[in-house]
Amino acid sequence: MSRHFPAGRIDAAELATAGGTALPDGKGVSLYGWQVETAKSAILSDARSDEVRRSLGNVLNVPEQLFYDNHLRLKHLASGLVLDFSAQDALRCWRELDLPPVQVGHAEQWTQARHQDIKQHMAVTLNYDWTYTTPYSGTVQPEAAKGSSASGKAATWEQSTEAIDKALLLSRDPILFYDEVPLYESELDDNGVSSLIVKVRVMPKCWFVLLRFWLRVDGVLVRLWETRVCGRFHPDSASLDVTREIRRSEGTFAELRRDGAPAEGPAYADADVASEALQAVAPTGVSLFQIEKLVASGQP
Amino acid sequence: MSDLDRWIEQLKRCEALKESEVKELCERALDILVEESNVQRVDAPITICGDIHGQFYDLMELFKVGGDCPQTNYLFMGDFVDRGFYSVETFLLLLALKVRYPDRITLIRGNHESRQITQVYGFYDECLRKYGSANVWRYCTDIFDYLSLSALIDQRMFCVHGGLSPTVKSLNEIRVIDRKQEVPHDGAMCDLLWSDPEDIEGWGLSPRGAGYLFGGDICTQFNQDNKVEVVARAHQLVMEGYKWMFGQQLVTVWSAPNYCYRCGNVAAILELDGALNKNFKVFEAAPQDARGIPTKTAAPDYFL
Repeated sequence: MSRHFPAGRIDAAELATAGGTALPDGKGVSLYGWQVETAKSAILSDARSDEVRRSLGNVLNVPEQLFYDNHLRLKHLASGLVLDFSAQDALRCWRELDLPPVQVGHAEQWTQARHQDIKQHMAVTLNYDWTYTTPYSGTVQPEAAKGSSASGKAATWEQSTEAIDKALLLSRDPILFYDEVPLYESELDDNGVSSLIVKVRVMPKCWFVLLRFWLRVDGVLVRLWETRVCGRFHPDSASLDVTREIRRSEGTFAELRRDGAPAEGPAYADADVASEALQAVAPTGVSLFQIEKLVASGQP
Repeated sequence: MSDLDRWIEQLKRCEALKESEVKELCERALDILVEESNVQRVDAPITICGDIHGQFYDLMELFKVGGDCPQTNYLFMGDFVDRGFYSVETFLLLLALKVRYPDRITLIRGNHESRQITQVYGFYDECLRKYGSANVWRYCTDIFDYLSLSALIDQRMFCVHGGLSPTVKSLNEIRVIDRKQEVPHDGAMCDLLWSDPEDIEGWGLSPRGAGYLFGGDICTQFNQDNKVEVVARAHQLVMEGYKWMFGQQLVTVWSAPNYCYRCGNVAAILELDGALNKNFKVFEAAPQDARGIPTKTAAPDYFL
């Protein structure tokens, strides 16, 4: 079924010019001491989905489109650090956060109309965050120890004031590698959309990652929680220069409208257009913004 | 060749009908659908299909695997439109087949066959894009109101898009529903199109504040009360195309392979022979070159 899952795009000529090489099977690229690779395949089988549910404390549901075997992985060869983006960790964070359930727009009307039946049939309200909202911003781990205890140092994200260099991202340097990897998506039983997607582009001077959790509950609210990570390349290949920005914006349609954002509709059709709509009314809706730098232990 | 046969030929090439032809087709369909019961009785042999969602070329795969209509009898359990690229052609083809072979194909209503849902999930926009007006969407959504709510195969298998309702103990309670309306938020009609089976006991309420979930005990009771063996339903994506629950008292059938052109799931149809022996046929998405649309590969972009 691999025909459904084309690999990321590599610009072979530009990659060679930049001194990089493609990874085997075209699953990514290697340059300036970094390996960037993606994996994409089908959503999880029903049986494995059940296993995942059990592993998450027997939660009743997981997203029906669960791309559990997908990932984006960026490996810094000199330090052995790996930045990993996967559904597995994202769902763990979803369970830890465990936000109280959002009520859909017609919830009151729906429940009112069935008041008697619900009582009579002793229907039990199930309780879990069905929006799959996750604060996940990626995982940093030491390289998987392969017998060698020397490899693999821990690293931490430390608060920083130095934002990602916008000019670097705006420059039209060639994109050597590009991919878009869905981690999960749910149609919320036709009450909106919830999705977690990570995109990556590698250029001659840096790589850039955008991880987006996007939620729209029709008639109620939108939530866009984004993590941007930029790794600058250095000629010596050894130094680690990674910055990330975490930005969360969200609001009910009523709140957003009140502050001048577009009304519910095409402006919130997907994360891309919603991001523009939300950016335009900032600081309305912005609930978190922080900048962090990745510091390997032992690094000054 | 009659107009109807010509329309079917044209739609099978994924070419939409003229607006005036859609209007006429819908008028003719109305005369047939209005006569159908809310629990439409159908006879085996028959092939049961789940959600299609505008994946026209995959519907063509389905017919290849299951046989052409009218040589094969079909029951489609709703969700013909939304999400995919060809909701117009998909629904009109099924509707034209219904008008041409009313006893050979049964269409029941899914929760997407609704004005409200189609305005959010694609069908409305597609009509507007293809016709430059909402008229075709209006003709189609008016016809949605006449689609039957369920089917009963040889008195032994109950077929519905979503699931059961606590207000429906007996099929007679479905028969008396006035279905000729937009899918409401209240009442059994809504539940039949929206509810889901779940591994719980009794009735559950969705954490989103609307929507019933029903457990195996509920399904057992319903099947006993109504002397049916199995509930067949659609509505939920299942990776293997079909999924048994509750000790084979309920089956979910899903007929949109590689859903949304990227899930990589297979689809299934359920063939019942004259004695109601079950045979699932699993199929994959139509090859890319057959569908005239590019693979959903993301073009490199300077996202920020």
